[in-house]
Amino acid sequence: MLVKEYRQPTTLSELADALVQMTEESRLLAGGTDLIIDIKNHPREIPLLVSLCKVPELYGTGVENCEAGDDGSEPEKRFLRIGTMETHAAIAADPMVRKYARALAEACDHVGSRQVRNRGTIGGSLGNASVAGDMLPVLYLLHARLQIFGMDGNLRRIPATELIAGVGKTTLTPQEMIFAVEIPMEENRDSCFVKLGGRQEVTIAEISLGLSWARDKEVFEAVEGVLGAVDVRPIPVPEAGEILNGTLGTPAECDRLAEALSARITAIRMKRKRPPKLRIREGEREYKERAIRGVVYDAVDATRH
Amino acid sequence: MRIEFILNGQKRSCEVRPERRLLDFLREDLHLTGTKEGCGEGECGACTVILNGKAVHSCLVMVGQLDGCELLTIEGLEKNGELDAIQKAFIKKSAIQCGFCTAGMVMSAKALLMENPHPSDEEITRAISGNICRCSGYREIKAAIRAAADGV
Repeated sequence: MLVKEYRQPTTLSELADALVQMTEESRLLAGGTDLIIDIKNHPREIPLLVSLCKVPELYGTGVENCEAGDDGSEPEKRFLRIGTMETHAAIAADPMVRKYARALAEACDHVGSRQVRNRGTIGGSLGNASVAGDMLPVLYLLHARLQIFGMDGNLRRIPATELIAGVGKTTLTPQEMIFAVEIPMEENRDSCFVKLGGRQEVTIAEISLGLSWARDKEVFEAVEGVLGAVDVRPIPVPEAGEILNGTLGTPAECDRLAEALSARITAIRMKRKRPPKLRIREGEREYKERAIRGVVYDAVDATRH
Repeated sequence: MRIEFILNGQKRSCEVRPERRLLDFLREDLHLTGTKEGCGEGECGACTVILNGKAVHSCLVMVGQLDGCELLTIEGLEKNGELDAIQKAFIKKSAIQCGFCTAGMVMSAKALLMENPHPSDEEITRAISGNICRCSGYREIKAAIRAAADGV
């Protein structure tokens, strides 16, 4: 590996100066748990590597009051702001995240191993734009938005749904970076996240499902759902509300929801033009369509915890 | 680039190439070869060290990021010629076969007990789920961590 220049800014203005120099070949270094492996597997010259670990503004989790008209959203909305350099472990353990964004805490708690969660960051995960990432489905579910920092030193905001341009690609320019995640704080809602992977621990999602719903009701109300790891982007699934609202989420409803989501996954598979990268057998081709049933049961189960 | 950090309780200042892996810096520059390289991609946990109180893979940290941090390696566990309680428990419970995973396993266990001195069996299992041992069935390893936590 050849890194031509390594910069480790300590202030926002130094960070902005470093961003000015960024090109397509340059890289931002957050936790390093993906980047260092990528550099090892694809040795190449990196003209500029900007390490983010020393900029204090990129850390911290706290409540942010958004004044009316600030960004066109409803007046006096409160957001949970999570700095881009917060680790998965820190987010999973944060009491505010557990209260207002339980699905995010649950997703963070099952990213990689303990060592990866201690080092990997939410901003790094999002910036990698991995199809199998667990952060973005949750941010779709919670209607989160992202603060984007640019080389002019200014912040702009985008809905989390506008981050992904394609597999491994974001809509940001090389001179921009994810600065923080903002999640609207809903007192009366709860959420959960489950995933299915090849192993119990240290696993990558083959399917993930997030649900959110109105808290403290006799039956499910105002349910929303997002399906992850089955397409380039997470997929909001209104079927979750249509089927679960007004019910207790009995096996009958779970089966109906599983059938609806299975049909979604079939549709994605049918429209895919390129053959799958992995050599898979005929039986494995429809694995996700079948396995979604267990994921739905797990998710409905998780709503009761 | 010059970095300052605390290594096993001692203040250090070194001139480094910041993009080098912490693992290589430890083994090749500081000759601390107790930390092992297994997979080199954050899967096996053999290279686990404790950075600012947290277990991390030294193969996935660039040494520039070490500036201002506190680092504990397997060499730092022994105090005044006496092994750490976890090391003693690994010996007592024969939680070692080939020994290649042991340093990483011990550091993951140490990080767990630093954060949570009385872990449940499930918490022990989770804490070492990122450390792969290809010889054993993990039973003795978990028993050793249990014994260290219980002060047995």
